[in-house]
Amino acid sequence: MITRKDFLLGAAAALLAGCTPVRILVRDYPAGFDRSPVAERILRRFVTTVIPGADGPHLARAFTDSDYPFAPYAPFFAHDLATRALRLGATSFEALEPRGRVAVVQAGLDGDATTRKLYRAAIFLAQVSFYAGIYDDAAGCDLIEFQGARELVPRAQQRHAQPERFFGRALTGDGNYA
Amino acid sequence: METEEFDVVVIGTGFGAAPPALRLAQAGARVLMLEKGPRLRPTGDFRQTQDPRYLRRFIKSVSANTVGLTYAEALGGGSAFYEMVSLRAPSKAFAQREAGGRRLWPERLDRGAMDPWYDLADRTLGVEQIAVDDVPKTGQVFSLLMRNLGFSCDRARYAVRHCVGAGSCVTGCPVGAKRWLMTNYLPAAEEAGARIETDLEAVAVGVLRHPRRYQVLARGREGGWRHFNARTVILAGGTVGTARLLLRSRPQLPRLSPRVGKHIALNGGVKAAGILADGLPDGDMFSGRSHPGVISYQFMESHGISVFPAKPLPLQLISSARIRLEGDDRQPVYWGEPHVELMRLYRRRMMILVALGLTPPAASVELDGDGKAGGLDAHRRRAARLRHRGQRAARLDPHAQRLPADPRRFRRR
Repeated sequence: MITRKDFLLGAAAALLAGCTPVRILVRDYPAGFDRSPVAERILRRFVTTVIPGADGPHLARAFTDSDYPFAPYAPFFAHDLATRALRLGATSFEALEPRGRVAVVQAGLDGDATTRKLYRAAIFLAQVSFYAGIYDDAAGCDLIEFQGARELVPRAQQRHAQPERFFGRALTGDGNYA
Repeated sequence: METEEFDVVVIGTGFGAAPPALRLAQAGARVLMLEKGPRLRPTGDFRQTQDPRYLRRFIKSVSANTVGLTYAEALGGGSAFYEMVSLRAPSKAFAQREAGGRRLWPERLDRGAMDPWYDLADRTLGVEQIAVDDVPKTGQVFSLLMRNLGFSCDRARYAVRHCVGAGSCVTGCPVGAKRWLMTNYLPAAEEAGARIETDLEAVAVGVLRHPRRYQVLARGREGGWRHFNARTVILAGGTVGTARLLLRSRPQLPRLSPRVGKHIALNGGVKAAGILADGLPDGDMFSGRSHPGVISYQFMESHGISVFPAKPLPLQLISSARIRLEGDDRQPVYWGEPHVELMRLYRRRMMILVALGLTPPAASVELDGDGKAGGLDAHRRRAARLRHRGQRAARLDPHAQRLPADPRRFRRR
């Protein structure tokens, strides 16, 4: 006969294994994933999976930046990537080929509601951080020819030559529609 | 707690607040302006940046399932962070009616009645139509597209002087070219005697009976409460802010209309993006002013919308859309290699179109009785019902808190 204690322990274990919010709450990841080089490497690899060709010193910084709400979830997220990679037979997420890493991320997006939310948020943060160059206004993002928010394009290059040729019929004389 | 007396209290310091404050102060009234946000220092606070932390200091948003709204919280309201576009509402806007047939604007208020006031505002703000030579590449290419399609395109009007095209209009012009309210209305109002208080949020309005006065209860950013009495209170705290203030004040304003916070017409923005065909010149997203300088009224009569191009910087683009190419069935769709391919086209070959129109007044601002956001199911049912009628609606106030509306806070004399 199952004892009450065993039942409760079994139920707690099942809850822990199957319920992502609870796993996040109880920090269900190895202690080493808190701001460790391992987690940093995994998160950088995640960014280059989401944005192939991405490079730079700040690739994974936004994930652990306390100004953004993702920071408390970053260790769990990195561990989740590692765990899913192991399930695919890889030694680590970083060791996977690009196709395998895409499969891992897609599996997260196909997961339960909380996991899906976590992966979507991570993709959003990776894209915002990298393309907008949020940690270096002067650097921008070479991949999309963004020279940084401080770039002042010379006035002559802000428009094509012979501007009149671009304009056709106007409905107003002054820009205000009656 | 000290109570100060004024002739007029103006709540807000944005475009709806500054003109009446200036004119009333010039007419000799004792005017107080209350601003929830901080006083801005153009030399230090206006920055060319893509750092979301900077933007979140002054630019706030309220979003719900079906609508979102962005507003600024600082001295001058949105004027410091807008794209300087200053256009007059078309006649059709004043003639709008809600579903029951009731006019949204008073009968005598139409474009003809408003034009003299628009003229005055244009002169004060320094609004002019953009010159052909100043339209940036994105606007040039949009205009060319419209011409090729046989559609019209107009050059828009802006409040700007000596623009160098730094392109950071939405984070405050770093070169001082933008004509915002701290370059015209607000200093003029202060010079005429108006007092401006920042970091002070009006949280409730009540009525005193003897003598008849309004009383405004305000809370400082660092805490502390203040009372202001006035014969007239002008509510100009923005679409959401004003509705929220009135709803909070309902216990002190028993005759407040039940329609407050309801039937709000937003501008119904719809965005679409496309890739420019080969042979068309580049439309450069990252050069020149933030707004591309042109607008098409081609569909104003037929559909009640204007159409114009947009030039979002990367932060704004990623924040507002998960772009993917229609018909591209590769997985994943909005990240990975397909997304990078699109992002490589973004600067020069992408054209983003925005349609703004006269949408039905279907949005509402609500405060929950318990002061918490909730009723998600009810909201979804309501949104679905309105969608069924071809309208869109949403709660705009998911984070609203019901303030302690204690009548004792309103001193009676």
